[in-house]
Order: sequence, then structure tokens, then C-alpha cells
Amino acid sequence: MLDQTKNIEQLIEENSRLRAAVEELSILNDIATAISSTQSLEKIVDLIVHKCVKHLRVEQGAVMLLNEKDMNKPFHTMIRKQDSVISSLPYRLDAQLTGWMLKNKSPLLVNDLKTDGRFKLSADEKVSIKSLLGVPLMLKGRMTGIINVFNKHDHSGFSQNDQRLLSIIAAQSAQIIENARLYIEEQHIQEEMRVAKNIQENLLPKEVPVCDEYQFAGKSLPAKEVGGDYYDFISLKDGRIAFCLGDISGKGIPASLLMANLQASLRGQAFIGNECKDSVSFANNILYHNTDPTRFATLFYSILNKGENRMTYCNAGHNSPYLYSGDKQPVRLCDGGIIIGMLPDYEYNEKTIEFNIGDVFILFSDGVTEAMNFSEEEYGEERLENSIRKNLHLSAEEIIKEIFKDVESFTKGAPQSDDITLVIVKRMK
Amino acid sequence: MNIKEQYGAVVLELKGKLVGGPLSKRIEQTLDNFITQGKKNIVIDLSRVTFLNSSGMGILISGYSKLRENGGKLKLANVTSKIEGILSITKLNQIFENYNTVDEAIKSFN
Repeated sequence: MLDQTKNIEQLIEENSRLRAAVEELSILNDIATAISSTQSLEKIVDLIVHKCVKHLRVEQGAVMLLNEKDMNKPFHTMIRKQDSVISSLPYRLDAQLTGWMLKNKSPLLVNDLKTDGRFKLSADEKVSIKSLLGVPLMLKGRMTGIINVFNKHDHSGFSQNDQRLLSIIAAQSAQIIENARLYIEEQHIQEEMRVAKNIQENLLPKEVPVCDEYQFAGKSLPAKEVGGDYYDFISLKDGRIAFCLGDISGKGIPASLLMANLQASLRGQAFIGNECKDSVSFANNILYHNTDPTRFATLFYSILNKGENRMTYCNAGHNSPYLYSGDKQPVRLCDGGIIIGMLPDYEYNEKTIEFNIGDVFILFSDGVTEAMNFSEEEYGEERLENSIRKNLHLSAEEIIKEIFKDVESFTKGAPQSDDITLVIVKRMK
Repeated sequence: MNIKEQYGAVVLELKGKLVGGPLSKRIEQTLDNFITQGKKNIVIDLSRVTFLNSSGMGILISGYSKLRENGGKLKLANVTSKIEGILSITKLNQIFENYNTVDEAIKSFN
């Protein structure tokens, strides 16, 4: 008889343990399902707090996220939720709690705040918080925030089971909250990239010089949002036209910053009317002094004298452009010197050539000839030359369009690894 | 990267693609170490480098500048035709002394 009673008691105990376990699992499942269907950081945190308040049967819950950038005010309360109106935590207590958490990085269970030796409350502070349970949000050993719940409805206060449950919830939530936080950061970065792209596009000439004797055209297609290629057409005060193509080493933001710097230096040189080789020498020294030696640029800079139909150029380590004149083999324009940004005070050369009626000048960046298809074959100069030859009769702008089309049909959608830029000048009469 | 010292010169044999990344840091550190030790005659053997992009070029340029500033010299050996093409476009062939073999490069220091 005694044994039977004992067995029944054991069964009841076992049963209630199982029921508690099932309830715990269903709470965790409830939270997991709810937060997996949302992406917004605020909604996720709101759901977590809401579920904690409900399942742990407390008056109030809060999630605070750690702000590592400002250790004077390390936490900001993300969401605070309460199911009855109680006054918010007095500032001094709030600071003590977060301070304790930062120091100990472990769960905190307090069932009678007034008598707890860990926190000092001044006599005049009216604190309506009696019990509290807080656990840190930990991610790879780093504390990212705290989940706190306050005032257990049940008068016996928080139990070890509550602490365990909240710890599991915190462990589950930490990664999800972090993902949502990173997602927001990524959105910010993407937005900044969009702005940078816009700024850079505005640095490129919006229109080309227009005259009866010559046609000018240019186009640049960066591999990333922003790029290191740049071209420019600048009308000089004396009626001559300067144009150039520069290719900064590297890609993305670092290259685009230097591109803006190079563009400004050369525009300045054009404005004061300096000659080709002097402008390039100036840009070389600027780039050398402004960067470390791993940064450099190739640059082709030239000035066209429309009146005399002569073009002076300086090629600083850039792919040699073509000058097509009738059916003759194209001339490659390679005089100038080394890439810029490498050796200070390097002396560049310049050369002057005749520009005859019908001549087409093609300036390109290595992104054109090194465009690759899926078999990692390069577009190469031979294909470029064939494409130019086929389209010489077209306008400068149409030739650019046709070359871009040809490159595209060659790469067949293989990812673009470098910026692609073309500048064309054609003498009409 | 293989490193050997011959007749007072240091030979760095690079392999694979020279495209920046961790390799560039290692080369930079290696060169710094040799400069501190007073070993400033450096040959870079490029026979086994299959590809070189602008970052890779940056590594060579930075090495060249650093040695020049410290009274040393960086020379190239066994440049493949692809890399020769790049050196010729960028006109860096005017700057880098370029030898057909490592031995010739080493001898040129004496």
C-alpha cells in the first residue's frame, strides 16, 4: 500500500516535470516560429519581449542592446513592454543593473530588490520593482545585450527554471537579433554606396564637346557600384580640348576616392592651361605624395588643337590607344612614360600627331581587352581591332555602342571583373 | 614563396597568381626583414607566376620603392611573356631591371 502511494507520487511528479518540459518546449517553439517569420530588428525584439512577458508571467520585460561605440552610455533600451502600469526603472538602478551585467556577464536573479546587497537604493527612491531576472545576450563570447524581466506575478518570485528558460531564450535570440542588426547595417552601407555611385557618375562628363569638325564620345561601366576608371573632356580657354582616360589600381571605394582626386588635379591643370606632359607630371607627384606605393594609375592625357588638327598626348603607362587613318594599319600612341604615382619627379614626354579627316582615335581601359568569358578567355586586342574596323564608318557614339555590344556578346554574362571604359574622337571634316 | 640567399643577394621565388591579399603582406614583411638585416640586393624570380593584376603590380612597385629609399635594389628575373607585356604597357620595363635568369640578375649586383 505504501509502495503504491509512493509510486503514484512519483508518477505525479514525473508527470508534472514532463508537462513543464512540454510547456517550455512549446514556449521556445512559439518564440522561434514567431521571430523566424520576420526580418525587422524592432519587430523581432518586440516579439521576444512580448513572449517573455507572457510566458514568464511578469509585469514588465525589456531588451537592451549594447552599443560598443559609446561606452559612457553602453546600452540603449530597444523595447520595453509592460502588462500593467508601473513606473519605469529609476536611472540609478538601471545603471547599476547594466553595470553589474557588463561586469559579470551571467544571469542575475533577484527576488527582493530592497534587501539585495548587490544594489544600493537611496531611501527616497520609490522603486516599484520587487523582483527581477536578467540574462545577457552572448554571441561568440561577446556580450551584445540583455534581456530583463521584472516583477513575477507569482509571489514566490523567479525560480531556477525561469532563469533556465530565459537563458535558453537569450541564447536563441542573440544570433537572430545580431543578424537583424547586421542586416540594417548592410542596408546603410548599400545606401551609402548608392550615394557614392551617384557622386561618381556626376564626376564623369555629362555632355561631350560639340563641334562640326569633330565628334567626341565616352562611356564607362564600373565593375562594382563605384570604380577606378575615369574619363573627361575639358574645353580649355583657348579653344583647345583636353581629354583623358585614367585607370586607378584596385577597384571599389578606395579606387573611386583616388579617381576623384586625380580628376580634380587634372581639371586644375587644364584650367590653368598647362601642357600635356606638365599636367601628367603634376598628377604623378600628387598621386605619389597622397598614397602608398601600392596605389598607382595609368593615364592617357591629350590636348586636341582643332584649328591645327593636331593632337598632343602623354601616355603614362596606359594601354596604347589606336589612331585609325583610312585603310592603313592603326598607329598605337605609346609615348609618355611610366604609370603615375610611383616615382616622384619623373620626367614625362609628349608627342604631337596629325588628325586627318575621317581619322578615328580610340582610347580604352584594360577592362575592355581583359573582359573574360566563362572559359576565362580574354576579349583581347584582336577582337577589339576587328570590332573597331567593322564600325569605323559609324559616328563616335555609335562605335562605342557597337564595341560595348561586341564585348557583351563575347562575355555572355560572365561577371565583369574590371571597369570598362572607352573614349572615341572622330574627325568629320 | 621560396627564399634563398646567393652571393650576397636574396632571391624570392614567387608562385601562382600575384594578386595582392595575404601574399602581398608576406612579401612586404620579408622585404622589411631583409632591409633591417642590411640585405638590400633582392631578386624576384617570376618564372612561376602565372598571373599578375594591378594589386600584384602594386606589390612589386612597393618593394622597388622601399628598397630604393633604403639604398638597395629590386630586380626581376624570368619574366614570362604575359608579364613582360604588362611591364611594357605600363613602361615599368624602364624602371625594373629584368634578367633572363636568376644567375644573371645576381651577377649584375657585383
